[in-house]
Amino acid sequence: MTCELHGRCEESAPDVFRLSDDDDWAQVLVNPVPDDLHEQVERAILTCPRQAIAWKDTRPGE
Amino acid sequence: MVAEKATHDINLHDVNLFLHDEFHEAFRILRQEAPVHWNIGSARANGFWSVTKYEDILTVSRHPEIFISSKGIAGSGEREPDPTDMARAAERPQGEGTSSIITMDPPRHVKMRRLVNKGFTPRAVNAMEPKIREMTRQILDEVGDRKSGDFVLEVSSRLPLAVICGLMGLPRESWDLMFDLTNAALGAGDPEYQQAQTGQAGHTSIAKETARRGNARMAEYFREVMADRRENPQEDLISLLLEAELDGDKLTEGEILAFCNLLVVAGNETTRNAISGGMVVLDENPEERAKLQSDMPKYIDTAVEEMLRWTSPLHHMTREATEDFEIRGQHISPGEKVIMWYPSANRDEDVFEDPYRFDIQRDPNDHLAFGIGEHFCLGAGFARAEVRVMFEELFDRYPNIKVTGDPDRLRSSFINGVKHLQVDYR
Repeated sequence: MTCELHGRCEESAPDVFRLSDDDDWAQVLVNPVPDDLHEQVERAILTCPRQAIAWKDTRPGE
Repeated sequence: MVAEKATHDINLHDVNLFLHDEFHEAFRILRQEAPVHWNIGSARANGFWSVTKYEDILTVSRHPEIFISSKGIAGSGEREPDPTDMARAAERPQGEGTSSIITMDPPRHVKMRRLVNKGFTPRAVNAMEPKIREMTRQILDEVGDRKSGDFVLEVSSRLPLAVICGLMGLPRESWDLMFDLTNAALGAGDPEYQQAQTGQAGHTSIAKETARRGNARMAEYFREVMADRRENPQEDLISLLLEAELDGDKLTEGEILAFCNLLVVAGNETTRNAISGGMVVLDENPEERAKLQSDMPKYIDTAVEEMLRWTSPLHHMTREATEDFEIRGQHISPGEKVIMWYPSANRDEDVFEDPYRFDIQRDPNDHLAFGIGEHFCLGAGFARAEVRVMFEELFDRYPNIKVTGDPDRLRSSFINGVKHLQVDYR
C-alpha cells in the first residue's frame, strides 16, 4: 500500500510524521521511534487510509 | 414480544431491506450471530460471504491481491450471465466497458492511481476550497427566497456535481446532462430513473437497458470533450489523462472514458447522499443540530465525520477471493464473492461506543465510509470539504431549514441514496 499524503499520520503523531508539498510520501522524522511515541504511531498505523505504515523491526523488548 | 430474525432468514439479496432501515437490524444480528456469513444465491445472483465486522473488513481490505476487484465491486454477480450482454459487449464502440481503477488490481492499480492522485491531495482540496464555497453560494442563491422545495434537486445534488465537473473542466451547461446520466447509470434498479431512460419501469432487463443507455450517452459526451482537449489542452483532469503515460504508453481512449465515467459517477452520487442524509439525521436529532448551529467552527469537523459514519453512502463493496482464506473459522474459497458492508462496520459495537447514537462530538471516529487500504476513496478530501462547506453556508443562510417529509429512498443495496427530500427553507 502506498502513501498518498492524506496526512492522518501527521495528525496522530506529529513528532514522527511530516508531510511537505515537495515530497511524494510522508517523511519519518525520528526512527527508531522513542517509547513515549509508540502509542501515537500505533494509531497512525491503524488510521492510515492507505494502510501504508508498518513497523519495520521488532520493538525493544520483543 | 418481538420475534427476532434467525440468521438463515436474512437475505441480503432482498433490495427492499434497504428501502428503509431494516438492513441495520439485519447487520446487527449477523455481527452477533454470524459475522462471516454465507448468503445463499437467489434465482439470478450468486451466493456470497457477508462480512459485517469492522475488524474483518479491515482484514479483507488489507489484502487486495487476495480479495480482488477486477471481477466486479458491486453485487455478487449473475448466476447465468445474460447472452445478450455478451452480444452487446461485442457491438460496443471501441474502448467502452474498459475497467477503471475501481475494478483494477495491483500492480496496475497502483500505477494508474498514481497518475491522478496528485489532483486529490489535501493540498489540492485546500486550493479548491474558495471555489467550492463560491459554487455553494451560487447554488443557494438559486434557492433564493423560496419557502419550500426539494433539497436533493435544489441543493445536495448540485454541489458535488459542480465540483467534479469543475475538476474536469466541464462547462456549466453540461451539469444537468451529467446529473441525468449518472442517475441512470447508478440508480438503474430504481423505477423512477428507469422510467426516465427507457419509458418503462419494472424489471432487471429494464435496469440493464437503463444503465447501458446512460453509459453510452456519457461515453459519447466525453469523446467530444476529449477531442476538444486534444486540440486545446486545459489545466484539468481530462487534459492530464490525455497527456499521462503508464509504462511508457499513453492511456487508451477506453481507459480515459472509464476514468471519466468513474469520476462523474463516484464524485457525484455519494457526496450528494452524505449531504442529504446529513440533513435528515440532523433534523432527527434536534439537540445535536442546535449544538452544531450554536458554534459551527467548533463542531463542524467532527459533525461531518459523524454524518459520514451515520449515512455510510455506500452500502457495500465486493471482492472475489483468489486463494483459500480463513476469517473467524469460516473458510473462503477461490472464486467466492466477499461483500464488505460498511454501514455495519460503522455501527460495530466493538469499535464505536453507543453506535446507534448520533453524536456530533464523537472522537475518535474511525469510520469506514470511505473504505480503507488500496482502494480508499480517492475523493475523500473533496467529499469532506463539500459536506463541511455546504452545511456552513446552508445553516448560515437558512438557519431554520426543516425537513417536512419522509426521505424518498433509492431502491439499491449498493447506494444509500435519497432521491427527494421535501424541506421548508424558511
